[in-house]
Formats: sequence, C-alpha cells, structure tokens
Amino acid sequence: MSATPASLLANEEFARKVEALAAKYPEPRTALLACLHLCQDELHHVPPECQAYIAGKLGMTPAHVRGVVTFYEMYSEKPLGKHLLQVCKTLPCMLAGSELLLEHLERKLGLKPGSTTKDGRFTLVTVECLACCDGGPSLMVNDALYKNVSPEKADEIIKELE
Amino acid sequence: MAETLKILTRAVGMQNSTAIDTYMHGGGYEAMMTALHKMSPEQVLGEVKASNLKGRGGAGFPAGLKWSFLPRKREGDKQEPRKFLVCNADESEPGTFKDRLLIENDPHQILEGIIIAGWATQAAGCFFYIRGEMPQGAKIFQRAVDQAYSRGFLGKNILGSGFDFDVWVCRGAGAYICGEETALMESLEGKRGQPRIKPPFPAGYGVYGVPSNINNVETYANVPHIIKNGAEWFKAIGAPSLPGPRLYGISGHVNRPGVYELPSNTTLRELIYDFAGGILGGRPLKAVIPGGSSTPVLRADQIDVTMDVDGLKSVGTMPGSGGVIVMNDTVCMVRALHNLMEFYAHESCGQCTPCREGTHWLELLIARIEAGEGKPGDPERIAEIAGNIMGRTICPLGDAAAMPAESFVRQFKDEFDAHVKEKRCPCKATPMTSRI
Ligand SMILES: Cc1cc2nc3c(=O)[nH]c(=O)nc-3n(C[C@H](O)[C@H](O)[C@H](O)COP(=O)(O)O)c2cc1C
Ligand code: SF4
Ligand code: FES
Repeated sequence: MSATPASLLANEEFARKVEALAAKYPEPRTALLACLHLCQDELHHVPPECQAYIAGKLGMTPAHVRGVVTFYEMYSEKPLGKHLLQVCKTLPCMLAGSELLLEHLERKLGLKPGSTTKDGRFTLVTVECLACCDGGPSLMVNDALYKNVSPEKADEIIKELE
Repeated sequence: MAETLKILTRAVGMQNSTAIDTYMHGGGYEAMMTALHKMSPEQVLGEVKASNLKGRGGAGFPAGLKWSFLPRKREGDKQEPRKFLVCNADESEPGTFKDRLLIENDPHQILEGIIIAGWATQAAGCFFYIRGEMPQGAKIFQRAVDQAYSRGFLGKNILGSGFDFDVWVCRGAGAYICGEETALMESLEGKRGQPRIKPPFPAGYGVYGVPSNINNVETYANVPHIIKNGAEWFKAIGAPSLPGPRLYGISGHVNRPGVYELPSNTTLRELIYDFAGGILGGRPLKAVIPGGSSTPVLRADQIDVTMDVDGLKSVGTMPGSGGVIVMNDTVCMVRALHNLMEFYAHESCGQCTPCREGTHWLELLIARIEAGEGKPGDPERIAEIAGNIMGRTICPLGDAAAMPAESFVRQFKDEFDAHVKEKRCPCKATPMTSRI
C-alpha cells in the first residue's frame, strides 16, 4: 500500500532519513531540497503537514518552506499520479518530433498536459530541455530517461509500467 | 577529415568507466597527487592562469583569474579564510547536454579537477549542484565521492598533505534559473532560486555569505589535464581565444547528433557536415544556434567560421555553452522563436520587470504573428522589446531571452514580415522534418 501523509510522518525511517540529510551538509538548510524530494518521491506531492514537519526539522518556518515548494517545478502541492510522464517540448526536441509524441500520449491517456488520469495512475506534463537533446524526443518516466521516443516506443514503455 | 579529440571524453563508452579503479588505471588522480605533493597552491593557480582555460558554462570567464579573486591567508593569520567552491551541474540551457555525458561516464575526472581547484584556492569544500532531473547522474557522482573518501582523496588531511576538503552533492528541483550562479547559491541555502544583485560577487559573498568560486562541470574536468600536461600543451589545442579541448553538443536536424570533443578552430561547417553527418533528410540547412538557445542565431551562409570566441564574434554570436542546434528548411523561424520564448517566459524568476513582463510580451507577440494575426510593425516591436530588456536586469537571463529574439528577427526578417503580410504561416505547406 502506498504511503499517506500521516503514515509517512509516523514512519521512523523517514524521520531518520530527514535527520541524516540535515546532518549531511555544512548547514541544515542546504538539506531542504533533498528533504522535499524524499517527500515528493514517497507521496507524489508535498502536503502542508509534511512541509511543516520538514520546516521544524531544519529550523525554518512553514511559510518559507511553502515558498520553496511552489518555486520549484519538481514539487507539487497536489497529488500527482503514480507514474509521472514528462515530455520535453523545448526546441531541439521539437525539431525531433516531440509534438507528435505529446499528441500521441494525450490521445492514449485522454489527458491534457498537467492533468492526471482518474485512476491516479498517470500524470502527463511537458518539461523544458532535459539535457539530452541528441536523443530527442526525450521522455522521462519517473526517474528513467528515454531517448528517441516514437509513439510506438512510448506504448511499449507504458505497457511495462505496473 | 580531422578526428575528434579523446581528452575529456576518453572514458566514454569504456567498461566500468565510473569506477575509481578504472579511472586510476588510466592515470587518474596522478595530477591531484602531483598538485598536493609537488606544487604549492600558488603554482597550481599559476598553471591554470597560464593555460587561459575559459569557463565552459556559457560566459567564458578565465577560470584561473576567477580563482585568484578568492581571499587567501595573509601573513600572521593562523587559518585560511573559510571559502567554498561550487560545481555547476545544473545543465539546463536548451541545446546543451555535454555535462551529462561527463557526469554519467567519468565522474572522477570532474572530481579530481574539483580537488585540485580546492588545493589551489585552499577552499573548505565544494558543493556539487546537479539538476533535479538527473537522478542517475546524482547517484553516479555521489558514488564517486564516496569512493574518493574511502581512498583518502577527500576528507581530513588528504594523502598526508595537511589539506582538508569535502564534497557535498546537492540536487536541484527543476528551475533553469538555478544555473545562474547566485540563484544557485540561494538554492543551496534552501531558498527560492532568485538571483542576487551583484556586486557583491560570489568571490566576496557566496554560499552562506562566505567567499565562493563557481565553475561549470566541463571547466573543472579540464583541470587535471592542465596540471598533468602543462599550460603550453593546453594552449596549443584550438584557437588562442578559446584554448583547450571543447565539447560541442549538436542536436536538431543533423544525421548524427551527439557530443563531439574538438579543438575550437574547427569550423561550424565541419562540425555539421563532417562530424554530425550533414542535414537530416538531405535537405538544405536554414539556421544554426551555435552555443545554447541564448546565443544569437546564424543563417546557413554564416557557418564558415571557427567555433572559438573570435570566429563566432565575426558573425555576431558567441560560443556560449557549446550547444549547437541545427534547423533545416522545413523549420518555421517564427515557430522556433516562439518555442524559445515560451521557455524564457516560463523560467523568468519574476524579480525584474523588464524580464518578467518582457519575456511574456515577446511570447504573446510571437504567438500572434505565428497564428497569422500579426499587425504591421510587430516584427520591429519584437526587436524593440528585446532592446528594452537587454542590460536592464539583475541577472543575464533577461539578455539570454533578448538575444535570440533580436537575432531571429534580424536574420530572418523576410519570414516574420511574410507571416504578417500573408496573415498565415507561409511555411506550413512543408511538414517539419521529424526523427520519429
Ligand atoms: C539563466 C542562466 C542559466 C545558467 N545556467 C547554467 C548552467 O546550467 N550551467 C552552467 O555551468 N552555467 C550556467 N550559467 C552560467 C553561470 O551563471 C556561471 O557563469 C557559470 O557556472 C560559471 O562557470 P564557468 O566560469 O566555469 O563557465 C547560467 C547563467 C544564467 C544567467
Ligand atoms: S533577469 Fe529575469 S530571471 Fe534574472 S533576476 Fe531578473 S527576473 Fe529573475
Ligand atoms: S530539448 Fe529536449 S532534451 Fe534538450
């Protein structure tokens, strides 16, 4: 079963990881982005109670943490789907055909960029250059990067996801 | 045809190339040992200065000179003043993908350069700031750091030299602006990535307000080779205005996109036609962006120039980050510019009015022209807005957006005018070449 905000905050391992990150850098505040990544990875979003928890651990105000969460693209305050599909749409990938890939995924999943399927399995978003322009169109699925993604290849990638 | 160089990219494609033993087997960390055991910090700094190594992150500032701005211990001081290095691995400039290659294939080469730079500047440690969308790269680099600690190449009293130095891997979280040096430092302090007003410069006020030096991944990766082979060897590679090996990442409409390690006296034509195999679909070349999306665009008749500072300057552009974006005749230049302006408008941090408003206006104005709803005078208006952004902002992102806008209209004025006059996109008839 996937974690909920309450179960994550009650999880001792999560607390240990946050504390280890706070101790990893010369000053604890440098660990903020890493702590937010931990939470985003576990819950697919960073809800207010987790923002407040991390703020407490790092000696910050919750308002400061919220400001950071809303600034960076990789954190979301609303839950994202189990699988995040990120289509690169910047010029080099556009030249390689990213618009065809995006159209295909929109049709296949019945989604507009920025939205999530009703069953919570997939979120589709567009992203800016992923630094693999020689492999355009590039697609990131969760932590994995795929290159030269044709519609057929995208179908195969999605089929492999449980 | 000339061959590509195998200096920075030596390990690419090699088995186990990220392991410390593989790296050391090929002579890795010898330069660090030479520096720590046989050279004073001043000697290392002198060698890097003499090499005229220029920053590979985009602005091309001489690295040795930048290092020399950091304060050093003065006579009578007990300790070195506290200071930090930063390695900029945020690689987010559209068209740029060379740092990823180095990080994923040869992390120890970067790390060795960082340690040598640490010795030269007597810094306390280095923050390795890698963009959030490179989780694998972060893991690979962290593993390299752990291996270096286990060999005594990092930590306290490195190899008995009395020098203490740490490296901390930090991940970004999806913000192009965090590649700007002071935004990156704000981000390292757990804040929103908004650039600081300069001065003070990082050498006086950097991470945590402590003097700091920031360089790009590729810049640090060059350092071991300079220490090993000497400044004269380095200067003999490429044109004098951009010495040393350089990574050019070429993407878009070429047959063999990828990263090519070349001397800077290679011409753009050679890169496109000889190394990258010519234009996709055998079609005519239309335009080239030579150094990442922020550098002014060139027309097909301007590619007989070398890719050093002087060569590219002669056609009104610059080497930037080495990201070459090639477009064939199926590309609508209005549409291409619109794509770039969406990027800059989205990535503006919003602190300065000319950048926040200007990039947004440009995006809307270009969208209007693209949709066939442009009004007479709109192309001129793009140049005017771009001119009003240039030089009027806190950080160079404003200029980075203005330069493509101004140059696209100047270089392809006919095409912008035709959109306005014909009230449609005259290029739509030819579908754009795609790879998939
Ligand atoms: C908006 C913006 C984005 C930047 N992004 C990067 C980047 O991703 N990587 C990088 O090395 N430099 C980037 N830079 C340049 C850095 O500010 C800085 O000049 C560079 O890291 C210095 O290293 P160097 O002297 O070794 O090139 C960016 C600059 C701006 C204005
Ligand atoms: S120029 Fe743009 S990105 Fe840079 S500080 Fe100003 S608003 Fe922010
Ligand atoms: S434009 Fe898609 S990876 Fe660079």
